[in-house]
Amino acid sequence: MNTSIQRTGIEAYLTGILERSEKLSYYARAKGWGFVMTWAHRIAGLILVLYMFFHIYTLSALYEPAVFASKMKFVDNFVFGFLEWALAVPVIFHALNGARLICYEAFRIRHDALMIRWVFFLGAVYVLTLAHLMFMGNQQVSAGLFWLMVAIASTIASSIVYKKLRHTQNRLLWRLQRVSGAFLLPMVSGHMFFMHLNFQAGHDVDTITARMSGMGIKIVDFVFVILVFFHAGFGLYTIIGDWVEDRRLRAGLSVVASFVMAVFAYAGVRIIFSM
Amino acid sequence: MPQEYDLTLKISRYDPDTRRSWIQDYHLKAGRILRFVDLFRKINDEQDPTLAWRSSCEHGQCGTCGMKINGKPLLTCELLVERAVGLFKTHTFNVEPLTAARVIRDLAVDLENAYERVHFVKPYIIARAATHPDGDEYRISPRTLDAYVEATRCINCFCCATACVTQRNYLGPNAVLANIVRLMDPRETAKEKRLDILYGEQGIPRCRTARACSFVCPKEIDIAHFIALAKEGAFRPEPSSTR
Repeated sequence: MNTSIQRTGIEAYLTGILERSEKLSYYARAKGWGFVMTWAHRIAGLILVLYMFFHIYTLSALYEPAVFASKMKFVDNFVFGFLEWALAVPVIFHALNGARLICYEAFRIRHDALMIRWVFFLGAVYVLTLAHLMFMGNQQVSAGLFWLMVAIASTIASSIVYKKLRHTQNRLLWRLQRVSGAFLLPMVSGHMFFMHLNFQAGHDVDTITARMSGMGIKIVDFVFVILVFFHAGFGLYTIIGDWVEDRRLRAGLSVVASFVMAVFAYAGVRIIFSM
Repeated sequence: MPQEYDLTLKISRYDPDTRRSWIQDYHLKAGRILRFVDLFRKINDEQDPTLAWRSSCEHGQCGTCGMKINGKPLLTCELLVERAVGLFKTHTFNVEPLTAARVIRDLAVDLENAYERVHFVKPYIIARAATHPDGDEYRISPRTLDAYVEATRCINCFCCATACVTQRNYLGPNAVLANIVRLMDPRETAKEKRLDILYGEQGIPRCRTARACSFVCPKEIDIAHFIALAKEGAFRPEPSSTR
């Protein structure tokens, strides 16, 4: 089954740059770009787990609006702005690459080389659009309408995946990982977009509290937080399972990872319902 | 195109008596159509008779001579010097044993140890379906056979298991494939038993769909395709199947 496709000029140029990295090209030649993508997916996921901890910690300052405002003032500079933008790279890569894997595993889409192209193309479009929004910083959108659209898209995506996988004999948590991934694709990418439509949307304490006070947003955020921490927790569980041979140590580490995720999920839910 | 190449082979050595591991460099001139097994033989003849490696059929059918060349698991009886130079764009090659099994000495691994995972999935028909009423043979339609005949070409060389992202707690792509072959084989009736193994703790939940197995397979079997079929639920048990 040959799924390789011809490279365009620009792709050949970009691949040439990537292949200059001795480590990347070593693994790409030895085990294929799919192998490199899998490791990149895993590393991006770990970065996002760490960021989620930091994000919940930062948001916990919302209990004291003055403290939150001072923290936001501290991060209001080019360096933090750049880091916020750079975070979009692992976010969108993990989301789109996850979608590629679901397409391959559940929907028999075997044009993997083409799918990898789409991951990079759509990822580039996303991060460039986000950069544009961040520079402009003057966009307004109805929060209710925006989140309604995103919630509908997430529900449709996760329902399609659920419907496809529900009768398979895959383990329940394995299936939930795919379903939650499909839900989070529009949700996480929408979340980053929304936060950078204008500066106030993601940084001004009054704007954030006002937005989070609506019951509709609370429900969306609640589902969002639960699925993010489930997805992250199961991701860590699979990494532990892939690396730790000792059954007891594996079980112990899995319990610790689940506990930490549960604590942060609880902290996130508490913030949502205290606004 | 040069007729002869100056090559450097950096070979992983292991002495089980002293449990010492080291990398040994061998410099040699080799013609472009020599295979890597020929290079090892040349080293044995001309430089170092102690270098241990293994091969059997040397026609890409037995899977004994699998090794990692510059990180890529492949059959060294199939790898010509010229092709290796083109593929890796170098005249220096790191030669390592496969990681799918314990190393016995230098480049020779304990294939019996590796085969334990294949034996675990019972790569034979556990419970045979009734034969055709008119004769002793079991008839398989060409269409049914076409769906899995590619997977029957597996020679268990363990190149896929070595390339796989998941190196622990996993049966490995070739063992999973052996199970899938019998799941797709209409002569097999013990489907549920096979599904239990397939979806079990060491089965496909450990596959990360990196497709490295398909990328390195010397027999060009798209192993990831068959594993993905299992993930999408293509092998649902039939009501009449036995345990």
